[in-house]
Amino acid sequence: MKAIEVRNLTKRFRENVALDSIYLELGLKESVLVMGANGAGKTTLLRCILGLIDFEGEVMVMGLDVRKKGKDVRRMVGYVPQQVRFPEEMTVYDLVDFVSDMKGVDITLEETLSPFGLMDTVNSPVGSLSGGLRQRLAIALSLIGNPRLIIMDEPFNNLDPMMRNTVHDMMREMMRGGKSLIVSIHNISGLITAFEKIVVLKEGRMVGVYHSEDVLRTLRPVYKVHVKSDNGWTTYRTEDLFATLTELQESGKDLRNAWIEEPDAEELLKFVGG
Amino acid sequence: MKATVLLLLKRDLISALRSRWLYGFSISFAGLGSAFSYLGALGLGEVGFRAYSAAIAGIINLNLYAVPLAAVIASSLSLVSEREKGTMEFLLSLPTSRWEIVFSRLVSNVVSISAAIVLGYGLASWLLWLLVSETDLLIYLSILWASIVLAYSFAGIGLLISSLVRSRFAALALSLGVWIGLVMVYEVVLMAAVILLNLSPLDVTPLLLANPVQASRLVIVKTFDPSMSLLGEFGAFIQREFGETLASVLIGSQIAIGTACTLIAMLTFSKGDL
Repeated sequence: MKAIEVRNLTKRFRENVALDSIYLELGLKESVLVMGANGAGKTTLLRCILGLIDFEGEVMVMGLDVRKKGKDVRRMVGYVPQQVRFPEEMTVYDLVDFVSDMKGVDITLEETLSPFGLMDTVNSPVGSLSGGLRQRLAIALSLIGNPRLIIMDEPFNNLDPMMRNTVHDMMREMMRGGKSLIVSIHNISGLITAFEKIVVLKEGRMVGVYHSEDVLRTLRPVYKVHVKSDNGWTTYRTEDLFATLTELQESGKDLRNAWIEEPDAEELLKFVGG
Repeated sequence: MKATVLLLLKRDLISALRSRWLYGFSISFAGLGSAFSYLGALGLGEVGFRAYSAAIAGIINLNLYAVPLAAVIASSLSLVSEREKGTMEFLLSLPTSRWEIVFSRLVSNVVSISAAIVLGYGLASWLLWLLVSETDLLIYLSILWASIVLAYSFAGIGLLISSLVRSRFAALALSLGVWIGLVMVYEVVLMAAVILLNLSPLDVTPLLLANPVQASRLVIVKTFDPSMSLLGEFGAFIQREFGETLASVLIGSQIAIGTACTLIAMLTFSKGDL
């Protein structure tokens, strides 16, 4: 059994072909990074895999046909959407309670929210949370029920470097724990080092599947981490973003106001033809 | 594990009962109901409650205008507003199916509109309890029941609108158009057709049953005047044709229209994108 099997997947929005004959396989305990420019079809692909939108072709998740067994599939999958929008009047508590009930699992607020520093927001309406807090909440909710497959669409949106590092560590932990991950990004995020395989989409077509080591060997992307201190801004250059973030954090640097300059994604897309 | 449809229903009911629409409608219905009971009480001494005055007929007509408007607007916004706000993606990513979402919206809308009707007319019922006999109160409660059935029918129509359009503005415009068409224009066109085409009562009956407002109007007339003699030749015909089953046929036609619209809404919503 595969975690994901996509066969001849085509998605049209009226006359526009958003995805054109996509074939993709993801084994159990495997992880894949989906890359492409804006409008390449990454979000549409992830939505089809989850059965959120109708499509032509076949999508099997954990051996289940997503069209016929979508409800069962979504019970086994955690999902972080690109645009995180929750019903604004619900509190964080209501939302966690609702999602855990829907997934049919018993959880504690502590285990769900603490890893993301959200315990202080328990009684806050979701509408009052900042973009970064909502993104953290989305990731926390996606992990409810210990899903076997996690789908993340641009998970680093709105996250500060410190939280990026936390999420990155969590992803590695999930991979080590035998979970399957499919994550989309539109730039050369530091995530590229964590995933073995990279799938590149361009204008709805799959350009190819690449090993991240090959890509990294050729591109050698350099990240710049700008950190604010009492003496002003300091810039750190690195090829291993998350190792550097961890070092900075451990050395006591305040990363809450830091920002990361990512290498130009165009280079990667040129390299792979995307 | 609780059924997901019940969990959705709980969430939708809480949301519907918190809605500002509900309070607005409750206040409107309270105004209508109080006027209804006051004017009804005025006629008690002379002609009795059953021989309702022109003023009461006007109030009943107003009821036939207000209930469909409330139901169709609330329902037509229920799916499309979540689509527009982006929260539908969150809901669909949980272990649920699209038909469950539509069903839950139907029930929560009908319950909330019914709550508004009961709350609004509750005061009037209490007044009537003090002023009129138990039999007359039963007539009043029958009208209340007729309003709830009418609300169900228009909630179904509203959901169909909500499943078809892409924006709240379009939903509002279309529901107002449908409301004007069924509540005002239909009757004028029907009267013109009867005169110009010389339609017989047999021809007119299905045309009345096809419009929930007309069917509800007949239910209310039947409540006051079981022989339907107030409607002259047509009343005599319809009473003769359906006999004791007339009220059930009139109620059944409204439920059938509401259910058919809901089923089509489920189908349309299932095939739609986010």
